[in-house]
Amino acid sequence: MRRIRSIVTMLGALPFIGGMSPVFGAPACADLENKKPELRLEYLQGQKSLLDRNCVLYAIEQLGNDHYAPAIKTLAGYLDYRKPDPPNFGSPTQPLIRGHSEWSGSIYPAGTALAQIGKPAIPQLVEVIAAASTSDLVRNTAGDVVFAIYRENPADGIAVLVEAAHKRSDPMDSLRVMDQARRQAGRCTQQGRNDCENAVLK
Amino acid sequence: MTVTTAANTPPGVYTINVSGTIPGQNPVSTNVSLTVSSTPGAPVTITNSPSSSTFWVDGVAYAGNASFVPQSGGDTLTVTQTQPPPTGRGDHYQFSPDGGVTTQAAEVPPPGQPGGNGCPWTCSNGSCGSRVPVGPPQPAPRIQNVTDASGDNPAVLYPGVPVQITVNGSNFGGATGYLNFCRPGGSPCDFTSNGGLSSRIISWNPYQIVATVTLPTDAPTGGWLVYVSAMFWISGTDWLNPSMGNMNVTIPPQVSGPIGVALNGSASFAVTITPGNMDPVTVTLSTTSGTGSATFADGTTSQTIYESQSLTVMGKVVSSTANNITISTSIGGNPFGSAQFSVVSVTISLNATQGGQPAGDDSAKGVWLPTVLSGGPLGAQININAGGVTRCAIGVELVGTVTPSNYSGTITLQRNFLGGTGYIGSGSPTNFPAQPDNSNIEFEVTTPSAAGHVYDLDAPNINPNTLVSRARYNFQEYALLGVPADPPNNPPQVGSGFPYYARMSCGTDVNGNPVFNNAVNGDNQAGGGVTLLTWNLQ
Repeated sequence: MRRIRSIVTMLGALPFIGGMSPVFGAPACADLENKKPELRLEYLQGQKSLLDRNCVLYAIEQLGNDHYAPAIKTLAGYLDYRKPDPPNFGSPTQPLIRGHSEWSGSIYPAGTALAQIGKPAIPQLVEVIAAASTSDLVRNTAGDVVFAIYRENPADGIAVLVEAAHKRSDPMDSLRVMDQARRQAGRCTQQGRNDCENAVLK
Repeated sequence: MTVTTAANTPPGVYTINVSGTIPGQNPVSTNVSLTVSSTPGAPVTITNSPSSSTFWVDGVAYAGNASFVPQSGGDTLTVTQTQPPPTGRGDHYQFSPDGGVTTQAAEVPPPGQPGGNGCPWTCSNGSCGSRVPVGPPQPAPRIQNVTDASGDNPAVLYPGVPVQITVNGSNFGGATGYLNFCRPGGSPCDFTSNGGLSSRIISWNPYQIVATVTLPTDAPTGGWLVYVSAMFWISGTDWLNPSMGNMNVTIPPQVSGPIGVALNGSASFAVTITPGNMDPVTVTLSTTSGTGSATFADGTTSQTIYESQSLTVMGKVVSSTANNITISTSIGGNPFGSAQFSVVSVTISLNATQGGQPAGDDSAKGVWLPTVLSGGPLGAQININAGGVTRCAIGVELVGTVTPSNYSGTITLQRNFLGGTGYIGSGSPTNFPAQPDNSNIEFEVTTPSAAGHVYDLDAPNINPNTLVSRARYNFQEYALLGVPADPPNNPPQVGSGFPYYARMSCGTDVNGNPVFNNAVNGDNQAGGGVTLLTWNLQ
């Protein structure tokens, strides 16, 4: 099980500078330990509001570790499921926050799980990006996951989004996918920026 | 007049020369191309009509004027011989010298060999002919038992593995004939599982036949049969009811385990032996190329076991190339299942040079670099998280150098936070507790690159404070030989842990944005080893 990290510590009543999203420890869920992926997926397909948060996070992590492709659609429905903040996080009494490198998937673990599953998740991610009903948060996270899947050559990921945009029959759907392609191109490093921008234009 | 000459041949094309004499006429001789497409074992019937210039072979008409009159020396049959069939009975003929009352069978000898028991086969260019002799059949071969090189009775065979067997009995004849392998069922038995079977006769005498047999890789396990086709006449009754020898086909020993064993570590390999196999199984460790070595837990490289069990293998000398150590099983010298692995070591180093870039083959940088807002990317940098919040960070790239460099298994770099202290300005120290501190998987490279490197990118950071936040962190990086998992399935550590530190001080500019504070010498950097936890590093 991967463990996510960050520590918030208390230091008197000094000013807090925050908005970060660290998480303590690893989720644990005895009910889902040593269970098959099918059962973990089935758990996630239950009524979300009634599910135990630790078990949801545990199931998402494990499905990602197992590269369990049948869970793609369900995981996409959890792209806005956030890891909880540490106790008292955000309190003015906790001014020091030890943090690490983070990307969307660090905060929304379904993103990491879908990135681990890899390219088989792309069609579903494109659907999420294109759908009018998708929130900007989820749309951006889905785009970040596409970027992560193609992390070895982000321009290829941009090209996949552009191609998907061209194939959409609904012009608004196409526009949303193209917008995400442009957003992701803006994240490319200086060395790869030209390739990414050129991919947008194709 | 109809004479039935039955030839039991495998499918193929044969040229048959038939000659005979009708009283008062010249001898007739004709060649026909006989295509046998029926299942081996089915008789071929040749029918002649004296009033016609046509005769029939299995109902197929051929031009010719032939009659079949038994001659004093018998009929003449000529065949174009194909390679002896790998399975089932070899080329042979049945005939009825007394008009069909009894039936005898004659084997076609291997190319270049005469037939036995006075049967004067002559062979040339793969075509053999013989005058069919008239005489009493010989006693048929009788099999007493079939053993293997280990002395098993019945012999134990393994699918796809050459095994030497010895057939003991009597009446095998002096000339080399055939061994026929089959399974129980059918008449005389079932040949349907023989696709891919091969056998080679090593020696043959009237009482003992030694041969090497390789069953198909998908040969069904359980009882198998063998019978002898000897090079002399036997009665049709004997031919239809050959003496059968028993053999037992079982699953060969298998061995499975990881593709990597940590140097100075251990791993478990499972050796599976089919229950009922009474032979001792020898399990051996050997280095097939280059350098590197492993032993069993007792320091030896060979173990003998009699039932399935797990064997502990210790990595002693690192492999010079991947998969150059083999753990193999054998029974009586016959090799069976094996597995290859490497003895692996990982040496961890830190790349945190100010202004440096992640390595070219660090594919995780594609996701990590966008988290760098300015500076760095390695060394002091302003980091931006997924929520858009900025912090002072020290970009670090942990590099695991894998030996052998072409090892292809998963190696995951992990990190423990050993503890640290934070300050506001020079006071209010607060301890950060030790805890596991692994990176998100997207910031890691866990499959060794072509150069044999795995990576872990991170940027430990502290949030800014107008009074200056200071952080002194100590870490320990280590490598796992595999994918992290819940205990007890967590893979073993490979190589030594690598201690390193990161320390930083972070104030704000007039707009509240984070800026590094360099008031303390040696601050805002990462390096190997351990840092003091004091605010001023003294």
